Amino acid sequence: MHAEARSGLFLTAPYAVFLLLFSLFPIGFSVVLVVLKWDLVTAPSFAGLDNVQHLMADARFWQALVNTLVFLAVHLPLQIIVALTLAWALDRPLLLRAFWRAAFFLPVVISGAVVTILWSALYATDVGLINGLLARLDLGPVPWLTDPAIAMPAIAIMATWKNVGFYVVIYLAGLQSVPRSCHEAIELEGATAWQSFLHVTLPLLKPQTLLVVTLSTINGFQLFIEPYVLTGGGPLRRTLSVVLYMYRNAFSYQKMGYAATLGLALALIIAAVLVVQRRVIGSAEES
Amino acid sequence: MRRAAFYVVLAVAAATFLYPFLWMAATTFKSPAEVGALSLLPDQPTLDNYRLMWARAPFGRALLNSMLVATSVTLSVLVFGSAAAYSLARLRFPGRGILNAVTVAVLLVPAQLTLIPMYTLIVQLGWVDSYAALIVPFAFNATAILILRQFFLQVPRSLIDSARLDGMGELRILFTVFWPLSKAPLAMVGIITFMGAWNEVLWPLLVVRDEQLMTLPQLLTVFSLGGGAGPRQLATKLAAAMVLVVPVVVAYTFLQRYFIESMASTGIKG
Amino acid sequence: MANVSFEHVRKDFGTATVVQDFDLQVSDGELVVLVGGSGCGKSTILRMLAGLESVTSGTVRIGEREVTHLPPRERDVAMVFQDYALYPHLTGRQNISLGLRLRKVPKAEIDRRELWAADILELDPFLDRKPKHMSGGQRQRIAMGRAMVREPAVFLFDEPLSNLDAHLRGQMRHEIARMQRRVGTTALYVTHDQMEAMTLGDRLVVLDGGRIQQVGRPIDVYGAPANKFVAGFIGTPSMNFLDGRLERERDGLVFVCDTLRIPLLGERRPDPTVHSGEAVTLGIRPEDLALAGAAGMGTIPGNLFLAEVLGATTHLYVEVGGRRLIAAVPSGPAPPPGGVVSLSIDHSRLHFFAPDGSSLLHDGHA
Repeated sequence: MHAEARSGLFLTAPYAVFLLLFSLFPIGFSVVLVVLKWDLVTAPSFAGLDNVQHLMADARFWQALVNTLVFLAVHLPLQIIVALTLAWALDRPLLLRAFWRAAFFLPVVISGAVVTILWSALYATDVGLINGLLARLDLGPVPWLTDPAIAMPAIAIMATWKNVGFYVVIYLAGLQSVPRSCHEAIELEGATAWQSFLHVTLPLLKPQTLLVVTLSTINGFQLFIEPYVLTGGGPLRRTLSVVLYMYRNAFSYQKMGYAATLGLALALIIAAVLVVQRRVIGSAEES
Repeated sequence: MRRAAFYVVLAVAAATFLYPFLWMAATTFKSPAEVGALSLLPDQPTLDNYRLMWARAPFGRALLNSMLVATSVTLSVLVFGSAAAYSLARLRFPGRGILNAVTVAVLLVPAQLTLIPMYTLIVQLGWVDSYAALIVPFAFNATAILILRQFFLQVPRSLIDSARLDGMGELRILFTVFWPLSKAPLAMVGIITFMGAWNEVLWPLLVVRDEQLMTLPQLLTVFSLGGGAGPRQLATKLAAAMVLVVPVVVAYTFLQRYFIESMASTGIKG
Repeated sequence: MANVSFEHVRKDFGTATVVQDFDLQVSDGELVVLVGGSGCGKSTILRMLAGLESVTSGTVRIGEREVTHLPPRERDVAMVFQDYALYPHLTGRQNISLGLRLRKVPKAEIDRRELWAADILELDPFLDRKPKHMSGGQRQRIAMGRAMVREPAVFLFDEPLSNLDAHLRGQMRHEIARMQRRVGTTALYVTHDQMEAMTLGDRLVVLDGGRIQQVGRPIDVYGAPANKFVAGFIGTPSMNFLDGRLERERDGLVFVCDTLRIPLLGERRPDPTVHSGEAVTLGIRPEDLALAGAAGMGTIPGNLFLAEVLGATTHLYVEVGGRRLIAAVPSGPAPPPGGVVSLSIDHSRLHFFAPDGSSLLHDGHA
């Protein structure tokens, strides 16, 4: 119908223009930027593979990647265990069930900027809440954000605290979709509650676990505001994240080509990591 | 007995998430001497932290900026996004297939890839330090369009036919027939879009340098990077954070079910 | 009020042709039923008339006006849908008046028409409810009211009764017929239910594979189907078909099917151009078979393997020479299943079809 086609084109034209300008062009341009040297003030110049070579030899970039892996090594297991435990606790008739769920979820809706500032207070060595609590237990003040070995794990704990409510809701939905008959069947086999959880519930929650791992991993590679506000990437660059490094290259050093190269490398690494994770979790299912 | 113990453990777990916020709220009313204390009740309540915060940086202006930006982005995503979603779901026109495919493909591209090219684009457009830089790049959202499109696909075709026979044009069908039917997905998209825009930090940090144009989270970040780490500064920073948190917590208290369901079902976090 | 005409209308979806060479004249005030199986193109024809579907080629007119490429709102047609298509967020009254309000009809006139429709369709008790608080029948009435108040040139009904239960369906069928006659508006009615088709329409259009198979008064279509498809489609249970050939014997024509020989005694016989030995299909409606008291000249012997008593009528499933025939007979004492029965045939109501399906009757009915 002519009129219908006209309406369709008319109603989607703004979106099509938007996609071209703010999605497709940046995607294409990200590759072009890799071979450019550009400070946004003077004209860009062709730099060949300089940016890529620089990246390969850039200790800061590799340090940032290692930092991200440290973050994930703490964050992923912690996230899964805490989320699963809290979801398991909520998966029963409870007084005030909506309240408990809402309490766990609250940090999810709060801006990362606020959470980070709040935790800078919690982690503060002298006046911080956590060290205050530890002092009551006669435990010495922990230099949460100033010890190079502790800073990144501390950030991972904070990120877990901020996001775990989201994964509780996801796991809870998964738990509620496990048919009662599955539990009853294994109970009749004489299994304990723990065995039932291990052999029935956990395998059935594989899709949720995959989602938790995927989203948390993406989140880990996107780390920015946390090190930016809490540590500035220190101490000893042990909390420098790739996005923070990218931001500095673009904003502070005006190296657009190199910043874009970091972005492209990061996108490829994320894609590769997600594929590997999917394989690992998928093959665990088959065995 | 076991049951009581279970509730105690649950309460401790909930306190882990709630207590820091309560402590933060309490601390903003404390004098520097009390900041380190665990108690929630200040001995000598004071508004000094708020006065200081308000005097040091334009937080009132930032609140207005944040509201303007988040509202504009949300309205645009809902109005223009649903028009696009409606067309992609229910109208036959050349290019629809490509547009649908691109919408899905765009979702798979990590944000980090396009961040720098987008920034250079904004600079080239001369949009640095403008509301346009904060609003236009978020005026459409592929996730929102897919959610709405999925819902619009389920509306019976006969309702569109009937509306056309009643003499309605496509825009009228969208707003007077589809919108009243789509309150749930529109609310969902509205909430996640608003929250996303309200909490965003990285993008404003890149494209806005003028303090008068900064959004709340950005100004808060910039403000907290300056100033020291002493008790007075800490309490002042937390007071500033309260400006950002209070509206969200109020909305969340009344609409928590919608917040949780919207965010959980779309896989987007704040 | 207007007549409707289709001339050589064709519709393609991509490479598939769903309607071809469709010609139909509907006179002013007539109710024409389009009937056929799913995918026969009947709904597409209706939607092309409404402007909801484009016409690939051909011409559509309403009254004197060519509407082939007009948008729906300029065609002055109203439609009742299978799922009613009521706006869920509006009350019955708002649903009925929305189309008028959009057309800027004066308030007083809207009220007048609303009253009129409410009166004819007895809508009052649920006029101010929302659709989800109405029963299926009530929704259907509101949908009809919405079509009526538009006072359109043509009513279109797209399987309006198929979501109702059997009892309500019969009731609403009468309701629609009564409403249409009273209002006197030209109407096209699409259905796959041949009961509706037989009872509602002034004329029937039987469709298959996007082509017209037959057009005519219901009784004529039933009595003299133009081809084997129509014969099998109209009538419940379906017509019995026997494939065989004709042979000329001393005392006339005989239909031969394996060991079965049926002499053609009545005035209904195939076209004289059909020669002895040629393949034909004999069609017998179930009600034209009866239980014969005893085997004899012209009766068919068979094994009764199932008798379904429906009430006044009983369906007998009889195996005759490896084929199953269905006979619809008045209920009464019937032989037990498994027994041997003899069926007699009403020779004045036989049907003959050529191998290509076309009717071979020559007595002027076809």
